[in-house]
Amino acid sequence: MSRINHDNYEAFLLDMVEGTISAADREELVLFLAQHPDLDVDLDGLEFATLDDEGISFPDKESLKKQVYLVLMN
Amino acid sequence: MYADGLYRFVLKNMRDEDDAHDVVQDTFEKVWVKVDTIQYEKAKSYMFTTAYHTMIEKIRRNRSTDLDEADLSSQTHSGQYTGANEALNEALQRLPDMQRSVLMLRDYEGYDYAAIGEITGLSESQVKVYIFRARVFLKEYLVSIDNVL
Repeated sequence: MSRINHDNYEAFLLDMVEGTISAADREELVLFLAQHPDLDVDLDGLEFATLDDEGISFPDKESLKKQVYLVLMN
Repeated sequence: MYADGLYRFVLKNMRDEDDAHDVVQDTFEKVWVKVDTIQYEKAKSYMFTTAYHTMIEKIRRNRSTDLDEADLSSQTHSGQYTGANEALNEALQRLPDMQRSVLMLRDYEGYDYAAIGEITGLSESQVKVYIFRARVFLKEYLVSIDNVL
């Protein structure tokens, strides 16, 4: 019985995009998508960017040190 | 040691510097009270789990005490985008909370899907589904912005 269904097929698509999908899962996924054309997934067009962290930092580290001190003293 | 990562994660989700500051402080307080029982190698994961739940509690409290506040996801952008980062931030704010959280844990903090599942209480498969949907949304949103500009 297929492990791929409407609730989880996107997890397998993510594996495919990231290149971590197994050959068996890939085969099963392609079959699943062929059987469900309503999902309208274009396997060739799947490519994503990832986020950058923008260098945000916590502005008040001194307060955390004081907090640690207070906890350790109690 | 993890303050910057926690702050970035919470700030991007809550969009309010004061709230993010409070959540990071609460998180450190909760973690330090239990510091003797936390294994060193699990400290980072424990902190993010604590921060995640503290943030969710605060978001729920904020929503219940400020019901008149408009849902950001339904707001329209009236100004001009000044750069790719601003457009990306706008897109991030339009994601459902859970999708935004798991995507940030993945991209900003580098957690694998199993660890993100532990932090958020989701299965690994659910984490992947949410991340896939978030990436599709961001891609489509940024392409649509590109077409408008």
